Amino acid sequence: MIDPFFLVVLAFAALTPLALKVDGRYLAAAMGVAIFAMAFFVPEAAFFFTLLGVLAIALALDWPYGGLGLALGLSAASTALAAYAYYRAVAAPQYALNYAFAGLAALAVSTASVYGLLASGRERENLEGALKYLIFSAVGKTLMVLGFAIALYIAPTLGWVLLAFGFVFELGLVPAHLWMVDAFALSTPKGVAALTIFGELTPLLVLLTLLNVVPMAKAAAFALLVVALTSMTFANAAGLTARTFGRILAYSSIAHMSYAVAAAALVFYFGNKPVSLPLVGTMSAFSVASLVIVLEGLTSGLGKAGIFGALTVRHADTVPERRVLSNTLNVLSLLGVPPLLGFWPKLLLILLSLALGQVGVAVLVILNSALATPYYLRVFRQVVEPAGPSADNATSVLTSTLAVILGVAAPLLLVALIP
Amino acid sequence: MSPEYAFLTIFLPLIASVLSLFLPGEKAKAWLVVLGSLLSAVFSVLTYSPPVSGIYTETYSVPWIPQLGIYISLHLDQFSGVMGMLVAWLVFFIVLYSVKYMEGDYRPGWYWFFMGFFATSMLIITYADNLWFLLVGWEGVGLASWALIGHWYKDDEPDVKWVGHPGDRVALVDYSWPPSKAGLRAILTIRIGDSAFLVSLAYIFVALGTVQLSGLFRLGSAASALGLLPLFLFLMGPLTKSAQFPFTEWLLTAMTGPTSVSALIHAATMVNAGVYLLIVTAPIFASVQGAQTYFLAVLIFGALTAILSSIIALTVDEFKLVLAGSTAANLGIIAAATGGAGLLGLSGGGAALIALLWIAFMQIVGHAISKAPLFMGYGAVIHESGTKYLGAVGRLGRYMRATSLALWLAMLSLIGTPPFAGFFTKEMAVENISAGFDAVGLSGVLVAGLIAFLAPLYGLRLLGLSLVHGPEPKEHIHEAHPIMWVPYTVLAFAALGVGGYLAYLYADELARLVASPGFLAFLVGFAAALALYVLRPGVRSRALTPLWRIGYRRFYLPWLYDGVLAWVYHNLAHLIYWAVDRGVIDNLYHAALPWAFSKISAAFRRLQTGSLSWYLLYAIAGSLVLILLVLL
Repeated sequence: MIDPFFLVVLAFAALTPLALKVDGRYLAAAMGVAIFAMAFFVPEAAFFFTLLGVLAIALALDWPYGGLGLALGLSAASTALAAYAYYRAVAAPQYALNYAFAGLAALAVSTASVYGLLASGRERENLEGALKYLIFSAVGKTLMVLGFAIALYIAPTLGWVLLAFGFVFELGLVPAHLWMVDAFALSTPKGVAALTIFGELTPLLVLLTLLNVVPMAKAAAFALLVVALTSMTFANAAGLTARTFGRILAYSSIAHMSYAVAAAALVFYFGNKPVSLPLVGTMSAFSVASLVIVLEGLTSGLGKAGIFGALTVRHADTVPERRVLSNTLNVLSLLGVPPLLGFWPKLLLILLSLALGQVGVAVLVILNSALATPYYLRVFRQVVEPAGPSADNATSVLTSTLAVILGVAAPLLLVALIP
Repeated sequence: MSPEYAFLTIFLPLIASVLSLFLPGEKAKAWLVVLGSLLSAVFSVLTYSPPVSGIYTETYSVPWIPQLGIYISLHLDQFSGVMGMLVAWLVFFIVLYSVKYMEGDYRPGWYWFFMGFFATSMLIITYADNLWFLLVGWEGVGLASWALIGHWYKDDEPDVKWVGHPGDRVALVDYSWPPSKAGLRAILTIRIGDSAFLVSLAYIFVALGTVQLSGLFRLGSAASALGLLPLFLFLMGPLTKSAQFPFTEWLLTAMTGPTSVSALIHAATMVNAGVYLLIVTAPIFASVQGAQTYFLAVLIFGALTAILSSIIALTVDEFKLVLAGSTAANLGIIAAATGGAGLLGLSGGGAALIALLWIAFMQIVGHAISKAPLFMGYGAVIHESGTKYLGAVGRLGRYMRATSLALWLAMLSLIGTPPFAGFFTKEMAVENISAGFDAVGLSGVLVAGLIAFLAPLYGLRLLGLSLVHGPEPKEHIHEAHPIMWVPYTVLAFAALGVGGYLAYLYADELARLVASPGFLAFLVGFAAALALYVLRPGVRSRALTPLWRIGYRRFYLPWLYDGVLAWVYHNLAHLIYWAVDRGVIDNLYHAALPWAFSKISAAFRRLQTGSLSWYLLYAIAGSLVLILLVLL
């Protein structure tokens, strides 16, 4: 039996010809409404459906995408599909494999859509940034599909090593991180907004789905842990001397993805066991890691979508021309200031490290948070200092509001967020 | 004990003062705090009804942070019961007096809030059984003291509101203190003692597992291993709070505050907090090994303060400064009497110690009910005459008859004239001091005699040169408003009434007290003072001028504190700033580390060439390194 949600995604794809006739923003908004509406039918993923639906609507309201509005809608739908696949894989383990492949398919749709959005500007640089994303993402997905098949049917360790490298390419971790800086700095800022929320959240959700199907091998966990710890330190150090919006936030993104991956790697390298933490009580270490991954993806995605979504320049290798005060909250959330959303995944990662007896990892995460402060404060200044009037738009206001609401409500949401 | 009454006694003034912040008019604020204080005073009587004897007789406790030994706990006994009533009623009388005295002041909200805040803090100290809880009040009175000493923050009217003669300097150091500077002096001195005090509380908690005073008392000889270090750290708190030598200076310059503040905080209550704590902790510390050294130190510090401060009171030329000197002297007497009681009680057993400590405690009562009207009365004098200088205006007895009567009654009590309260309390306290020195083989009679001899000299000098003799006022002076003179006159008569009660109580002791060497020394001092300052004033001695100058300059302690120590501290701070802050911190955190990180960061970012081929090459090379790492 075909899952009804797949039919919805197929229906969306079938709408493609409409893009020739209807302004893309209406298509994207309509798809956002449809995703939002799905929340009523899929209660387990209602949180994501609501969030992604309203985000798609906000992004659509803020930008005349032309024909690429469909790409925006599809990228949101693909992330919703990835979220759906993840929740269904947990809820119905007997079909987990099907949902894992659905997740990989969602990733492919997401990449294609985001590529289009990144390249949507008229500048040569926009295309260059988009192409670098496409190439590295393609390599990553190839490794993922190959690795997943090998992990399932041939050799789990080899398979997971390939999968790990796939995610390194896909998420832009060291040593495959260089594309990300160029993609953020050179691509169309509205496309970067879509990349940060849909293009990064989708692979993280796929990672969680795959982990539910085949547990990560220890060797791969070790490799990912080394990569994650190196990446966060590398990115935060490199970000210190970056000056333009695009480059600083690219390093920030690498760091956030590193925190997320580090949580998963920690659990699979040091062993999944019940841990007792403040706020969440006693739960398995993997559940805590899943929380870190989801919250880190949301933090990075929401914060940067707000910041890039409000840019009016052709590419982000520059400082902004207009003041966007709502983005101050987004920057503070990215920095991890309590009680904003960004505070919680860092806190949980530190607590998880301590619960697993890894004081060194906890200390490194804390040092990295401190190291990142100067460049976030630089972004803060860049957001505030340009001349007024303030150019806040639907996306920046929505994301900053979410950073506050989700941050304040986090203690209530935490347990409910993970299946 | 009814804890409800005790809590009402403690917190009603604070509640009233907090509510006063929201009232619009000065009068409304004032009368609300007066009402709160009156209710607090009434409840203080109910708290001590029926009276209990002994020490730590009844206790009440609710946990606050039990892991750290912090409880909101109270104790009721003969000390806290009487002290509570004394504090609460004095607060009432003085805030009532303030209604008129502070009328038209430019900061009524500040004044009335901190008066109520002070009262509650002082009552916490009085009743607290837990030393951490006591610390809340202890710091509260310090804060209120700072706030009210510097109440006139504009530093205006130097001839009335400052201490010292504006422009006066000694060897490059200013010898005049505006309210803002005096407030800072007070809080800095007190904080030095409080720091050590805080450490001692932590030490006691760690060593003995409790800081409940009643609990520590019940430990008995189990507390003997505590040792002397925490006792001397503890002692620093009372020494600074009660302005014992060499920490006397802050109390003298605290006279920049409104006179009602001087009367309440810097005469009758807060400064007594230190000696009160010395008294109620003495039975606990008596069990500690080496307690004799501790009590001897208390005795010596107290006696030294009593003598030196009496000399200051005898030589200075400001009404309030004379009174402040005498306050320090009396605090010295109380401290020394406590030290003496401790030394004598070590050999006499628990009951004897409590009885001897009660004598020291009674001097708190005797001094407070004598000193409060003196301050309020001289506040009225300054208010009417417009000057604070002794000798600038005289013959005030003719113009301010009620005030003059109150001042005479109160002063006679303060200096220890029979049959006033001060006679009994002071004579017995001086006996404690004398016997204490005798117990360690020193001449107690000499010390006690000197203390008793000096008191009438400074007391009658002040009265003689302001009420009886001195220049005629240049402008017409009239009696103070009844709201002002009634409270201090009532208190002055109370000194007489309490004296009568004590005469009845100690009728058997009367003959012995009158025949004591201390009283004989008092009589000699009284006769000399009567001759020199009341009957035949104007006698001057060139030979004594250098000695007078030393007293007048307050043993040059202000020069030491404001000059030498300030210079040393200032330069030390500069040295630390240049060597540590600039040399190490700035260079490390603001130069070396940022330089290192910027180099590392720039090196990392150099990989960002823009070439896709290179990017793939880096990724593949990095992946290979990672694979090797995994394989190894």
